[in-house]
Amino acid sequence: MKKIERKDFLLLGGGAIAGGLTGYVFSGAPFLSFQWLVEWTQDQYVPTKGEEKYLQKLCEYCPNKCQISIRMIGDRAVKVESSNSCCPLGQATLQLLYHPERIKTPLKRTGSKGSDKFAPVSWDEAMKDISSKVNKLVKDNKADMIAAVNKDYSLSGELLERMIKASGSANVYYESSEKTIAQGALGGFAEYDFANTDCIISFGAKLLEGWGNQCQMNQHFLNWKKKGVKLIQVDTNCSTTTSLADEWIAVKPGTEGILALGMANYLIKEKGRTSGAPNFAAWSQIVINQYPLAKVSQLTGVDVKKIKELADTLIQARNPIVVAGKGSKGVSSSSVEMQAVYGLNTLARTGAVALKAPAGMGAIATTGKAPAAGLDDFIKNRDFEVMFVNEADPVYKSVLGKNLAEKMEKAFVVSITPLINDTALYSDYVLPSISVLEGPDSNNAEIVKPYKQSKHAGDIIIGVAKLLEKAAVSFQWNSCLEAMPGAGQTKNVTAGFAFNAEILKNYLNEYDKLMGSTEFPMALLPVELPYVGDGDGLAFPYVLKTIDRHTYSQGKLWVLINRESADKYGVSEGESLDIISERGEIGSVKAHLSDIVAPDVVGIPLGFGHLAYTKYAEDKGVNAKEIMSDKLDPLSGSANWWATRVKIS
Amino acid sequence: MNTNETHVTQENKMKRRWGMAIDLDKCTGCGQCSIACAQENNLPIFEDDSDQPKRVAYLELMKVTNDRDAKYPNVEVTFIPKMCQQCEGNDPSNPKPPCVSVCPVVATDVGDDGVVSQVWSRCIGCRYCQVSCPYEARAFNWWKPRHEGSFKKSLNSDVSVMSRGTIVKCTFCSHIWKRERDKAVAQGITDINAVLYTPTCASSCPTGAIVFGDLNDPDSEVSKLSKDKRAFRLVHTIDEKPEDEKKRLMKLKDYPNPKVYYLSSRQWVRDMMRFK
Amino acid sequence: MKRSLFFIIPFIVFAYLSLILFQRACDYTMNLQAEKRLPFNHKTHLTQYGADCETCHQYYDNGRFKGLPTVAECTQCHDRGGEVHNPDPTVPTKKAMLDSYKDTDKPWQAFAAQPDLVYFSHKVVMTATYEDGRKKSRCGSCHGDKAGSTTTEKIKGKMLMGQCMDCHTALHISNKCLVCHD
Repeated sequence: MKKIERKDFLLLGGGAIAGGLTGYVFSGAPFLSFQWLVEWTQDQYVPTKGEEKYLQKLCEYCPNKCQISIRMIGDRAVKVESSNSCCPLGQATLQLLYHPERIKTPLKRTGSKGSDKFAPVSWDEAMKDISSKVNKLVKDNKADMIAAVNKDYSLSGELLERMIKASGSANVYYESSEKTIAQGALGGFAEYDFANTDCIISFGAKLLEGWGNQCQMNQHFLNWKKKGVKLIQVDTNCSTTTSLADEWIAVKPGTEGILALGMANYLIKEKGRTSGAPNFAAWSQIVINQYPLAKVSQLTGVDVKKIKELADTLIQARNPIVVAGKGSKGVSSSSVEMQAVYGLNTLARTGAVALKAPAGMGAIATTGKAPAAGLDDFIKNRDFEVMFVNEADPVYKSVLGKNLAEKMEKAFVVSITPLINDTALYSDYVLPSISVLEGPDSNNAEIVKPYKQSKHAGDIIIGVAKLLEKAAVSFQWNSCLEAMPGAGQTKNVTAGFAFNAEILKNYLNEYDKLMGSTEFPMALLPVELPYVGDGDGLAFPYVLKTIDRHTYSQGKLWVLINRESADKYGVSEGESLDIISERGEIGSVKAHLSDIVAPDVVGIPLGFGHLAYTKYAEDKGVNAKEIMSDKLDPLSGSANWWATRVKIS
Repeated sequence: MNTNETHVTQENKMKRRWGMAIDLDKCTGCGQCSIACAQENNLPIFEDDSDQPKRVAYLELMKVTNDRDAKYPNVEVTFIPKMCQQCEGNDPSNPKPPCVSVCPVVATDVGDDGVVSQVWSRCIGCRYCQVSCPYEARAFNWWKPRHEGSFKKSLNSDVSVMSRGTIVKCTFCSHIWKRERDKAVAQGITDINAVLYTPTCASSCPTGAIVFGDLNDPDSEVSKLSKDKRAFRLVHTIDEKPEDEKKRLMKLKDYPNPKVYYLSSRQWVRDMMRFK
Repeated sequence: MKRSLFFIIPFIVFAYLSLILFQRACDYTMNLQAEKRLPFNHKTHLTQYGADCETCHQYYDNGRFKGLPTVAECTQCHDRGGEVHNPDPTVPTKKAMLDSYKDTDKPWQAFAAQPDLVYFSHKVVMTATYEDGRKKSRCGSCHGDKAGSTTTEKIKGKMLMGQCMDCHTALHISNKCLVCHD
């Protein structure tokens, strides 16, 4: 045979390869393999199919209890639909339900506080450890060292309050809202009859942007338009509410209370109005002496004629409402302002406003030292050894958040939350709670089972309470479902509202001092997006998709500065700034020049600057609260963060 | 082949012309329309979605103010939910929206009910339509659309998940129309024109600011609202011109002729449309 | 001449082998050789046992097609507790091969999977009638004459868009994109 040479091998190999390729090409596989390549490199995903069903549920996120319809495909919840059209948090709830950063099991801290190092533990172990710490404090007669922070007056909030009080401590606090501030300032929270009013004067309460009960406010708004109800908004900055209101009374920053007092002066002096509330005589004396209309006009920027017109409108209305509590979801105000604004209701003798207090879930004798006036007061002035945080984020939301974090480093903290947030970073135990779609509701309807080992916050609290030697006897329920019927009760405030002349005495002096600071010539006013709220919404990607470019864009937070002020301080559009107050500095943010804000005001969005709250919220912008005023109000115990003065650089 | 024509039932001919009327005096900027739209249409999830011009969103909730011409405190804010305006061009019976007329591969086309379709899988990503859209309503997938981890569980299986390098836009939730059609046929109603539906932005609006319906039906709410004195269309000032001037202008160029009407009692919002 | 054989022979051999190999791979990927674990005889069920298509290939209440039947559709007649042998040919017998399956199992794979991009409604297509009441399409119009088949073999696999459009064109039904695509 002829010798087989290398060339022959090459021919053989070449023939094989060429043949293979020809076969490949002619089999039609290139088309399919290209399609496969595209789908593989582009991570093409096809959602699993299944039977389509609609399941009904009550969304018990807030007391409104909207009836929602969940569209299910197989066992996947894909859409939230509602006939009374819930609220942005309701729409975003699917993103919480299926969030990849949901906490799966109870977590125990393994690293230092703030390092975000946790290890999973079992519920039994966590509950045992937590209850033993509480039991020890109670046994050592140090029950006052047990504290709790609730988000609001929800079922779990009431249960936690009961547990703490039954253990002998009165240290239960609620995050700042129009309800909590009012409890301190007015002795109860105001219940407004928005459905039957004919005239509303709101002092800074952004009624159409998430204030109060958002679902109800939307329906009231439509009703007002239909019935021709007048909405007058007293506010510094232009916002959705001022634009949709029938009239916007623009006031200089921080002077809403002064305007209310001016109106009171007019009503008492020139219209002879009085109020039956206690201390009215002393209070009205100060109003008459210190708040003549000319002075009020000069301080607020509203002319005298307008002030009189506003007061006349109020008393000529049949069923007016004056709303107190500045802000949307994050509400803050001074007690003087709350009393002045609420006091106008009594001067107008309206039947549309009543004071209520939470009735709790049965009487619990409150022993122990008197509590601090409010959450911020507690953080600043008191100590604690054990703290429960119930679906709240005070380390982020309170202006004294950093102080709280420092105190938490030395205490035993339990945080109940579905996602790791700023407060959870400083906790010893993080207990996972559920979204509103999981577990049964009051009608015993269940959409999906709770995620992994998470539980309803109420069930977690009942579970801990039953292991507490002293408090267990006050917990006759076995699950939060059993406790649900008794929750959310309110009662009329028997003592009624009383004026406080002491705090009013120096109000103007303090205002003058604040305004007189030459170092900090501008006011820092918060701006809130309804779907971000005071920070809760930022963990959800579809919320991020809604944020406009003048709030947060290209990785930077934007603040609003008036055009005239921009000229004065030499700021140009898009310029990077730092904002400095007497508490510290935040930056850098970008400036957007717009006349939506008043002169000498920096409008800063709330809800940004989380240190931890899923990767969708982390390290986005800055947290305005870090530099906001921490001056505590004597009655409400909360800082009035609308009274912050800053300078820019 | 002509014998087939006599057997085709009239009920198969689509008579609807879907449009919207959005009342800006009722919109509070709450954002529910935007979040619901993202949920229903499987919009991609990004960690940082703050580059608004490059954002993949069908509905942009525009915050507009009159502070270009007004000074504090005479300023006002309003929100304009802007989605694909489903333009029909000068002649509704032969619709020629600006985007459809430039697509080289017919990835976008006008349906019989006036809704402009966008089939992303046919799109080659030339972005000619995105450039030609006068309302910047089209989004291009610059990055790979992702639904991380368990977010995949809330994906709607009626809408296919888009791919990188393609254009996507609002289609007035036409998949919901198909869903409603199925329900109607299952109940024995075969008339294609008996099917009514509501896109997700309109059904989630808590104040009812977004109204959806058939513009061809004179009794529908959207028809009546589109003729309201407060009604205007975005950047379509030809609406305000007298009839003969309109005819003359329409001979000179193709106007988008959108089917989304906005209602506002504020004169400055309408003035803004004129690029004064 | 001989040299070139070194090239041509492997070329032909490999071309043939690779053609077969890749064709099978394509068929596998496109489910054209889908596994059919339970044998089923369409012809007898339809002609002798009085079933029609919709007995087993059902719809949900909202009109969406359920797809391939589950074992529950079999046990709806072939009762799991019934007799294995019955002289009366009109009574369905118990089938032992069903015992190893749950009612929710679907032991068949479809020969053609509907792509994600298409919203196809079986209900609309199957319910459509001409004015004189005749159905415009039957199952066999697209899926081939399954009614005449006695095995689970593939009759029609790929159903590409052209097939849908041809029928729509002939029946003067709209071919606009939104009719089927989202």
